[in-house]
Amino acid sequence: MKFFKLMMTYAFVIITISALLMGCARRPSAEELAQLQDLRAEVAALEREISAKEQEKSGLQQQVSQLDQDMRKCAEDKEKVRQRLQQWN
Amino acid sequence: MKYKSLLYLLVAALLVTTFAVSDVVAQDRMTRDQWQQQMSEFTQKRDELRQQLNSLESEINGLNEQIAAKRQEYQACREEILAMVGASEAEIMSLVERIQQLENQVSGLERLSDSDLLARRGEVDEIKKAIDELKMNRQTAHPDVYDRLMALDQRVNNLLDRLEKMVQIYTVGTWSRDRDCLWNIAKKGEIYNNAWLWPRIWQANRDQIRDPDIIHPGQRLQVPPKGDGHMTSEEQQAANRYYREVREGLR
Repeated sequence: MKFFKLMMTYAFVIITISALLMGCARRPSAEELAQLQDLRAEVAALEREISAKEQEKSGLQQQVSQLDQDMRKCAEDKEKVRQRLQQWN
Repeated sequence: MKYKSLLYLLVAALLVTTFAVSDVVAQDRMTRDQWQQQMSEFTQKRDELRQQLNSLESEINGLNEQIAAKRQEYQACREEILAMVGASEAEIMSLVERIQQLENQVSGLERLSDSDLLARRGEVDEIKKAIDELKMNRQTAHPDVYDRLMALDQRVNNLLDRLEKMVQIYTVGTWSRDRDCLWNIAKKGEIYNNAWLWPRIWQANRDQIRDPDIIHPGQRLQVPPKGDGHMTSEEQQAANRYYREVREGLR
C-alpha cells in the first residue's frame, strides 16, 4: 500500500511538471505565425518563378544554338554561291 | 480517504497536461525559438532566390539581345546571297515553285512502265530542255534552288538513260542488197516482225527522217521497243497523215 502511494505521488509530480513545461513555453503569436506563412508562400512563388525562368532561358539558349548553326550554314552557302558564280563568269 | 484525494490530484494533473498539449498542437507544435529559426531560414532562402531570379532575368535579357543580333546577322547574310545572284526573295520563291512543278512531272514519269515512258519521251526531252534553260539563269545558284535543280537534273538524266537502254540502233543498208525502207525494216523479225509499225521508227527519228519514203544507207536509226505492238496516238496520227497524203496524191 505504501508502494502504491509513493508511485501515485511520483506520477502526479511528473505529470504536473511536464504540463507546466509544455503549457508555459514561449509561443509565437498568431500574427507572427501568419508572417511565417507569408514568407513560406513567397519562397514557393519565387521557386516557381525561377523554374519558369530556367525553362525560358533553356529555350533561348536553344534558339541561340540554332541561329549559330543557321549562320554557319549561311556562310557555307555564300561560299558555294561565290564558287558557282565564278563558273558563270 | 487519502487514496481518494491522491486520485483527485492525479486527475487534475492529467487535465492540466491535456490542456497544455492541446495548446501546443493548436500552435503547430512550434515554440517561439522554432519560429525564429524558421523565419531566419526562410528569409535567407528568399533572399537567395531573389538573387538567383535577378541573375536569371539578366541572363535572359542578355540572351534576347544576343538572339536579336544574330537574327540581324543571319538576315544580312541571306540578303548578301540574294545580292550575289541578283535576285529578290520573290524571284527565288518563283524559281522554287517552278522546280516543284518539274519535280512533280518527273515523279509522274518515273512511275510509268517502259512503253508508256517511251510514248512520252517528248515530255522528258522538254523537261530536260527546261532544266538546261534554268541552269543558264544565274539566280539558280541560290542555295534554295541549286541543290534541288541538280537533283532534278540527275533524275531526268536517269530517265533519259532508261529510255536510251530501251532503244536499239539499226544501221540502214543499201536498197540493192538489203531492200531497206522503213516498212521492210519494221517487218524484220529482229525488229518488230510487223511492217505496220514502221511509223514508230519514223517518229523516233524525226530529227533525221523528214520524208519517211527516203532513208539513206549508213543512217543509224533508233528503234524503240515493240511494247504491246500498238502504236501511240502520236505515231498513229503521223501514219494517218502520211496515208492521207498518199491518197491525195501529195506523195
